[in-house]
Amino acid sequence: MSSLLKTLRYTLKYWQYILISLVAMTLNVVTGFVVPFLMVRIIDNAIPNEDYDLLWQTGGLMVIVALFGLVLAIINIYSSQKVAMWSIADLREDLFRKIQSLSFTNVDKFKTSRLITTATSDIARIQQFFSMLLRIIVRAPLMFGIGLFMAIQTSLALSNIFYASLPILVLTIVVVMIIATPRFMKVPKTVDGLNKASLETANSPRVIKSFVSMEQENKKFNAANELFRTTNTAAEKVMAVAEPFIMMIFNLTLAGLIFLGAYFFKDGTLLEVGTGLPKVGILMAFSNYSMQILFGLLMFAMIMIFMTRAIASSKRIIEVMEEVVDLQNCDDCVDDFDIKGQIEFRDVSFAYGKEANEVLRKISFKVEPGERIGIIGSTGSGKSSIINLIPRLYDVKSGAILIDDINVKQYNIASLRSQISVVTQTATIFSGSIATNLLQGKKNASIEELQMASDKAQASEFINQYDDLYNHEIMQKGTNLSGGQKQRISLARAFLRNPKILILDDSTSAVDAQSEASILKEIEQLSNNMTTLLIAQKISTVSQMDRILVLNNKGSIDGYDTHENLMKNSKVYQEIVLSQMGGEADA
Amino acid sequence: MRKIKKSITHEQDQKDVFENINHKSTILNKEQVKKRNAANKDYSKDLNRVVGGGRHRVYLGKNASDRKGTIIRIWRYLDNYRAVFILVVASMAIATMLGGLLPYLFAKAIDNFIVFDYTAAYTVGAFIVIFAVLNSIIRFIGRYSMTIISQKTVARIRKDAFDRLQLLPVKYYDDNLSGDIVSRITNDVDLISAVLSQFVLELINSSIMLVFSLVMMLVINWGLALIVIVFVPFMAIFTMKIGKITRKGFVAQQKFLGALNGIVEENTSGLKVVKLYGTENEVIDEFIETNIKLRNAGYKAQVYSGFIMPVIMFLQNFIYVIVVAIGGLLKISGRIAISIGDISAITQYTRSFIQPISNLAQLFNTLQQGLAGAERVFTLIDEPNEYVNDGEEEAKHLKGHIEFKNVTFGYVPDTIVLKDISFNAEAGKTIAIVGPTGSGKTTIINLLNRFYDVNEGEILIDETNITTYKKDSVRKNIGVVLQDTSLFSGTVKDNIMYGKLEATEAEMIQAASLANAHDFIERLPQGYDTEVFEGGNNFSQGERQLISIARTILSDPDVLILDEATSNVDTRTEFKIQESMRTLMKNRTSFVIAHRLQTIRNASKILVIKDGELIESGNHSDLLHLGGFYYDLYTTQFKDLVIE
Repeated sequence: MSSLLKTLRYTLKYWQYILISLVAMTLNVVTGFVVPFLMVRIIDNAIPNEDYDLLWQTGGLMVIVALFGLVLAIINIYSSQKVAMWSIADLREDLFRKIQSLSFTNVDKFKTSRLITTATSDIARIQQFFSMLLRIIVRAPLMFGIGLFMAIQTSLALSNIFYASLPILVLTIVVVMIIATPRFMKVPKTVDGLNKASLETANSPRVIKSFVSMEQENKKFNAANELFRTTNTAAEKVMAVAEPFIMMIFNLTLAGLIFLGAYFFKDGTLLEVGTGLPKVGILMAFSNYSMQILFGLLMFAMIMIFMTRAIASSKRIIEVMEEVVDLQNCDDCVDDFDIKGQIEFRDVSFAYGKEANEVLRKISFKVEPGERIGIIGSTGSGKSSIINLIPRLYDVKSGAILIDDINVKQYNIASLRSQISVVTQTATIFSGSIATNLLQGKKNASIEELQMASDKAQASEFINQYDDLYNHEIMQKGTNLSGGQKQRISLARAFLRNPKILILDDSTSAVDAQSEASILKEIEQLSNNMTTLLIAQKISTVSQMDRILVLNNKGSIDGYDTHENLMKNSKVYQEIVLSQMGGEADA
Repeated sequence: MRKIKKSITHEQDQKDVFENINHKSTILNKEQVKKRNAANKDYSKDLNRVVGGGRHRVYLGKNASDRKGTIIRIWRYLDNYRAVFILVVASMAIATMLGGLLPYLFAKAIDNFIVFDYTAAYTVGAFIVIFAVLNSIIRFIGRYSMTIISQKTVARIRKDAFDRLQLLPVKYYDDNLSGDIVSRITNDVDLISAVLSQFVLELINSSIMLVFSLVMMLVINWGLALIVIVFVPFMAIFTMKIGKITRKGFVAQQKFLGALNGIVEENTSGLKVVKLYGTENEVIDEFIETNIKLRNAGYKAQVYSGFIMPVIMFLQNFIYVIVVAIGGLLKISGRIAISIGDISAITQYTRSFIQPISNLAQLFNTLQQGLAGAERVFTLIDEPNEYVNDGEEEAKHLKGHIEFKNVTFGYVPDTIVLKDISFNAEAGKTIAIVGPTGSGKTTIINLLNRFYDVNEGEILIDETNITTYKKDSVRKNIGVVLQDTSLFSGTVKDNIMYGKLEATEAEMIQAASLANAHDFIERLPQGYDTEVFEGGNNFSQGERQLISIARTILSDPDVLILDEATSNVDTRTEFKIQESMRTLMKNRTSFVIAHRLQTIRNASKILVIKDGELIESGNHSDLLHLGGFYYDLYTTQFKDLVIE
């Protein structure tokens, strides 16, 4: 609830519109009761007294009131939606800013997929909530309250009907909710089951077909399908009972009014004082009031169901919004600097998260400017962690990382990163064009520079095949490119920047052997004024580097030397060579 | 119409602008690229939905191309429950009419009160009680039955769709995104469900209510009834007009929403690159711009759709006043016999007459969406079954002699992937397939498994054409370990047993040990009973591969295919598996696609494929001596170690 209130604070900025909207809404609800109220005058006064003037007057007044109601409703829509749309846009922007500012320790905690759902689905639900807030949610209690007030004002006697119908309706709603809620809660899980069963088939038809296990898959699916059907039916059954029952309460209220009316006509309470005629108009108005009051109550119940969902969403949003970003820029950073490209790890230990196991243990090594270093080790040995630490995507647990003898924590993060190019393992490409992706490496680069970088990354060959060259469209997530093409673009982007430090995280895995060789040759040429760190699986790739850092699977260094020396000294390195070459390495 | 034309030419203009660009010298900026991409974008998926809630529902997508046919097909499914369906229609109709009589009865009571006839009033009250109770009981019967049959019908359609899915050729899966396939079975079927449960009941309810109210008004006082009817065209026109405007608003909103969600998704999952390249501010600016567009479009859409309710309420009130005023006038003038009760009844019927008109318009949206969904499901059910014209012969056991004779193949008719390939694989030997990515290596495997059939030439297994065998019997005898292995939900044990359902525990564990998977499985918290989630995402790719190797070992196939089977296992683990792989491959015909030398070197035959052609074949030393493509590949990939 408190989180929902926190999201609601975003609406307060538009308090003028909230005020307008509330006033319009209240008056609009009032007009909904005034029309039947005025009708009483026609039925009980104008017609029996054959008073034409009163008839016309009241009729005219009713039309004006109705028109007034329409205008008020429209004002309410404009103002309530202004509040809803503007405040949700603010909230959405703040949330997105927050997500963009999160450190990777934060991101790891939430998981990327969860952040995306929060910024899309959860926001959508809160938007729906905001949009209903000043239009429907506030309306229900107003309808109920004002209706009850009007009813009691019109006839205290007939209001006795509510002693019966209100408790019965409330009780019914409570019972329905108690029975229905757990049943409906079960449904999403069974939908997941259904999704899972079909996704399995959609994802692995080759496996299913080659094991000829279609029947087994059918059985699995049928089980999921039946579970979904029975669960869903069980939930819907409650509504099939509840809706006609609630309808009955409404209709019986009508009958009750007749019996109650008869009673009070008999004892004279509802007779016109002067003429002794029965005030049937009041009875008619009352039937209208009571329907509106009961409806208001029902609406209120439905809103409560909706609210619980909005609360869950707001909780997820606020959780992200209140997350403390743990990686901060230093207070008195070195701001204006050009690095030479010397890197040093001093007793660095690192773990993802406070309680997690250490992936790097007391690692120390030094890389000279212009050196080309290969990094190798089995999966989980901490290779990627090393390169995550250099551009400060994470901070070390203990020890220090120095670039040009200055701790990375003392550099301004943005300036530091601007002098390092990291090419990630899975190439991340954004929708737009090839050029918009490359230009992330260097804003305002000329077309010649793009060509040069693409040449180096062996990307020109396929780019030149497009009629629109660098302006060629890239779909979301780069789905219209192959894995190798994406890697080449992400390499070109890194080259375009002319970085002082180039870090490649197994980023040529989807590129064919010949192109890979050419790319490595380019790097060799660039290395006069660029330090290179290269993670690879293949010995053939790292063996060409000046030195190779070998990590064992305990997160420490097993060797840091040239290929030739490692062949003699590092057991881990020898093992890797052996596994890749079979008996050949011994030859 | 004129407006539509205008908007088309507008888009055309925008496209033309980008056509006259010299791409050699111009780089389009982000803004321009965005505009162009938006003009080319296919929005059909974004728009394929009903937006707005309650009274404001609008369906934005395309309509079903064959509405009538689709309705007939849904009806055929319902036909199994014809008796129940008739019961539903009858009970909803009766319930609606019973409910419709209540305002009349209430009016009668009013008239009774005016003449102080309390006994009559009590009788009427009693009738209302009886009718109200009956109405609810009968309505309950209708709703309850409809819930049951619609759920059953939908489950049946879903089963039919899934059953058919299992029979479809691999081509279908290759041509369609898995998300789309799943969506047909889940979301699209749900849309049919909505039509059955909401539309049918509401349609009966609203149309009976409409007709019944009209008849009652005419019976009570045809003059007043006519006044009410005069307003119908206004209502209809208004509903249609506002519907169109609202639709336009929602379409715009949906497009911006799609764009915004795209930005969120891309930059959240690509956050690492955003940070490394320091483009946070650019990204945020882009977000803000689209966010404001979405806000403004959403505002418009919400406001327009919000007009419907108040305007209809006003019309109701307005007609209400007119009826009361004119009714009162008639009553006072005394020229026409009309009672206060009659006036009251007509005002009530006005409401129950007008409400269905706007309801029906909204219902139409549900129907359209449902039919569009149903059509997509039915297209899936109508896809051709891959077992039509299947071979006759049951291949119980394969010796494993495989021959390709002049095989030519392309996934699409015009693009040939394999050109005139011929080779012979002796029973029990290992064949390695080598070549650059995209050269057609995997295609050979697709043909061997009959996932696809050759265009020209033939494939012989044990001297018999592969098409003579029953597809499933061939597949059962060929074991495949693929590059990307997704596991199935269930336990690790279930996944290994997938290879041989009737295997014993001991056999299963033996297979796992052979695959070098036993050790890591034992270390899992629940060992072999550990649950597998989301296609195996709780395991590393290497672990998944080990499990799938174990699965294949257990299935003990006659022919083995390993498509980069150990590519994601780290080199040290791979080294350990080699031994078991060798045992596995012994005495079985095996096809191996691999990057790594070890496996290739020991093969009895190496096929070198380039651009769909078999350019070299022979064993390792033959090919090295040949000094051709294989030699080049070998020396670039492994040069340092060759020198040693």
